Amino acid sequence: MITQEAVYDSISTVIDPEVGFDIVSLGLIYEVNVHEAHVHVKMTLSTKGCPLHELIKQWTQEAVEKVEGVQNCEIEIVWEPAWNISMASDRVKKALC
Amino acid sequence: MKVSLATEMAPPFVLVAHFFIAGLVFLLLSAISFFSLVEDFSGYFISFHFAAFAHLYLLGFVMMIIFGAMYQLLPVVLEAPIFSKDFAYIQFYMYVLGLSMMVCGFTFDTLLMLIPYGGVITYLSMLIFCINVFLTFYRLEKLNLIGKYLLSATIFLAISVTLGLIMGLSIGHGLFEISMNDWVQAHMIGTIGGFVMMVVMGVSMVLIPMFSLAHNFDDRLIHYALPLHIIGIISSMLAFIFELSWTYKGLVLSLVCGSLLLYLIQMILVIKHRVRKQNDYWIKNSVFALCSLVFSLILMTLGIISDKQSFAFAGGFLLLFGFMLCFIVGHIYKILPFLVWYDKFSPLVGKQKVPLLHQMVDTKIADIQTWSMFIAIFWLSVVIAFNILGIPFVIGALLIAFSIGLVLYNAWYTFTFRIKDL
Repeated sequence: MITQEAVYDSISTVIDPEVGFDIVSLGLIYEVNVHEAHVHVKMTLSTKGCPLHELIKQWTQEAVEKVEGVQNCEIEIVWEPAWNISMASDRVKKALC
Repeated sequence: MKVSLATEMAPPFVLVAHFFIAGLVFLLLSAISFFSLVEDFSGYFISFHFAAFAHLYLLGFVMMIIFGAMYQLLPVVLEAPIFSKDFAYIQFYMYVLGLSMMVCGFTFDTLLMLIPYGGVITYLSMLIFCINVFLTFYRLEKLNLIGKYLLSATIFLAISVTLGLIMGLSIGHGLFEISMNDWVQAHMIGTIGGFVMMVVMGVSMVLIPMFSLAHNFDDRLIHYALPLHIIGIISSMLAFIFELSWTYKGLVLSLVCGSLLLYLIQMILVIKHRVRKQNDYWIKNSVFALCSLVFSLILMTLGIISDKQSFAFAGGFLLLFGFMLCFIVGHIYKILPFLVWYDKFSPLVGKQKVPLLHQMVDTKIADIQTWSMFIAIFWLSVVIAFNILGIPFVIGALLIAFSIGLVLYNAWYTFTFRIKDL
């Protein structure tokens, strides 16, 4: 059985090379829904017009597909609510701010 | 085979690298050419020495980097690929050839006749760029604010290079009887104020919030600045072409100053909202660039009002070096590692350890470069403003050349970065 925790763990291997933190700690992942072998991830990016937009989306999808049992993964990029630093983990906040 | 949309949209690294490498080479050449300006700052300002330097620096470095950056950024900002990558390559080679011919013509008396031919080739290459950008925009359904800035900038480029061509043909063949002094100034306003500044204003709204992680700021000022800047630039160019009075010229130039002021306040708002508080070489360069723009506007205004030419020269110097050079160099430290990383290391993500972007810059050298550039620019501004040229000017020029040398070293460091360097 696929757990949300396993999906989050796998996504947390995706690092934003500009800021140097994983996208889960940055608070970019809004929602993970698992329906049998299908995973739907709702996420955002720290800024619109990010040149890594498609790459980060692609890496996230590949990370989810690595989780045992996942057959299909859909990544949805949303801009509402807009990301802000309060969504990041304390470790990230401490390092950046 | 799975194909990333990012790969489909973005131009190949090698294309953008062409522009960045050539831009840095022209920067080195303009640093050398800068030494020849010691006499120009003391008197007559539109000399062939000055023209050689201005074309090497503005066309060879500033605009070359802007062309490369636009090819990289347009697909990201507009969410549409560049119309033709082949056009971009053709533009690049024609541009380098035409520009080199023009600079040779300006530098060597015996090669004066190269100027119009080089001018025509450069003109055609810029037209190819404009057409490429226009066709990229033509396919869009809607235009965002940044798109409006970049489109307006490209229209100004098309107009002002046409003025440049007319001047080139008039120098070479006496085609038109024009007031060269006024036309040069209209050409400079269109190119620097219309094209370069509008690109900088537009991309600042993408790059500064992106690199500083700034959010939730009020962006009305940059919206207001757009029509004001366009009207200001058009009317200023017309005022010089039709040789109107300085009262009218001053009035319309103040519109441009007004829009730049709005831009500056907008940038302060963005920077105040930044999340990343590290004062690295990028933010230092960006803040120094913005401060230089403020002092540049003050000095140029003082120069015009008090008819003190040396203040206007110092203002122009601060605009070209304090603002443009520091803004571009600061962003080269961010964009170049990204381009190299994207090409060399992004395919390795998830397979092996890859560097972070800041690791691909020699930070100690970048800091030395940044401070030496700041000192050189401050020193030279004083030297030019108070007309204490000669040896003090040469010392400042040497310091700038040293700093530019460090920029080139860091570019080399980034291009040749290997995983085992980690």
